[in-house]
Amino acid sequence: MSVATDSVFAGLGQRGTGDVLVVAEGEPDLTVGELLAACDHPVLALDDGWHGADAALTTASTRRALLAMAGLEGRAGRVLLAGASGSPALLPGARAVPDDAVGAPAAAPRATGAVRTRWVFATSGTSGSPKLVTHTSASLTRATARLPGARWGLLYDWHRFAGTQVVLAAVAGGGTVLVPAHARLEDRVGFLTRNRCDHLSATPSLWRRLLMVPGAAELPLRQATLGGEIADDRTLAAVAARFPGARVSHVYASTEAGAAFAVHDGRAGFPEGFLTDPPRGIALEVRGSRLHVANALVEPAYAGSGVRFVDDRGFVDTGDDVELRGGRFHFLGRSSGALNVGGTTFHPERVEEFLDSLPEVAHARVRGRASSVLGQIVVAEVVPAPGADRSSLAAEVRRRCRASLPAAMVPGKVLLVDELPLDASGKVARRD
Amino acid sequence: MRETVLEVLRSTRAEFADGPDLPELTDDTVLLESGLDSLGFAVVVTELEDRLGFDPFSEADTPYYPQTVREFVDFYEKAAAAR
Repeated sequence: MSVATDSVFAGLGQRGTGDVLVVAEGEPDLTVGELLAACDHPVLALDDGWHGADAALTTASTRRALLAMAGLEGRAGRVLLAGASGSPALLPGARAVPDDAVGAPAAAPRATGAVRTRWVFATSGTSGSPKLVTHTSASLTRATARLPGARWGLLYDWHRFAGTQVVLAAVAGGGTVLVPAHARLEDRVGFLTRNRCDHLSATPSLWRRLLMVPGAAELPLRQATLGGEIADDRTLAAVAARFPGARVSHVYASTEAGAAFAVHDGRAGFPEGFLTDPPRGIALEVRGSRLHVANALVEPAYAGSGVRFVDDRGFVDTGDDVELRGGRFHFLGRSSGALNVGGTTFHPERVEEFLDSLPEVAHARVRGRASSVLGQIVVAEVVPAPGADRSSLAAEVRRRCRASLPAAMVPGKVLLVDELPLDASGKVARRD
Repeated sequence: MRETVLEVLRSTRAEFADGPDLPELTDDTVLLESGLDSLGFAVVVTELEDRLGFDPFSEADTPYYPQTVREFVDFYEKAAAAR
């Protein structure tokens, strides 16, 4: 291929202009021709003040997001992929691209002297304010295989790293992305089945839920991908049994490490040989029990704060513990004590902080408990405040959590205790 | 066994389900349409593990995902009988 590797949309020109790239419920289909037009003459009603400037995409629509990315690549400096719930202010100075600018008549041809546009993701889930990770176009498409005709189902938001990977696998890899709009999983599966979805990527927890949807086996899957959580042998086997025509893979990716590697042999963990003979473009090391990944295509410092997250040899500490058993590294979980409930990662302190703020609660400790359904669930041990009604406290605490916290952080179990054990330094002990 | 499973399904649903209009829980109710979300379902399995002493979803050689209330109850009864 003669196309440059540093464009997200390189290779599009090899496809027929009538090929459909995006099928989204409630929106017109997006074709190759429309996206190529957006690359050449940005269909963004934007003046040349955008040349080299930073932009933020806050649309909920995958179709609009792709058109805007095509219009901005080579013009804008950095583009924050914020999504409808994200704030453009995260990237200081970034101008939000108005929804009605996308699809408007072309303003001017691309200014001369193309800019090397970079793409910024806001990491979410863990405690504290989001961190901004900057990717090149090459890093976004590094793991994209050429799969002409693949019909990818999108079960993530387009602006999350996992979602962007799916969208670009379809667009840059020669396929189509199918975007369901329904909230209920049963309806999404119906939409994907009607549209002959044959490639699907989801968290292991979502796969386990999908296996409970009547009729899900009718999805004509050729590729089933698990990511975002530890993929265990049982879930891999269950997916393979339900979709006998599919290759079952699990991927290891994070915003900082990028799309590091995929494992296709249907077994949990990854081969020891990945350390000496790593997948193309990355390097892996295990220090102590901690997995480190080097991916030179990701910028080594957070945008905004400028804090470096790689060491002097280019390795990111992933925070994931692994253990070598029988020639294979198995994932053990987060070494920081962070919890992962159904693919959402967060620190238990974030839930404790909320519980401690409730008038009925004197003090709380939050831990994870292994769950065969969600990987982990939150267990909260609560010391009632003096005078609190103990008989209704557990239900009341859960009700308040449901009203104020993301679903993954709501305690599945609330235990009332008289006191919490302290460690030698007088802090609430993390482990018994 | 059957009563315990149904009781935990009902009580968890009362607390975790969204919306006031929940369908009556019968043998033929599809679990995903019972009003229980992923967390609610995880809580049911955890609660049953505490009461019964086992979790059939985490036991070896049984990667199985029931779709109706009847299949769910049967799964627990078979797992209990095999112990």
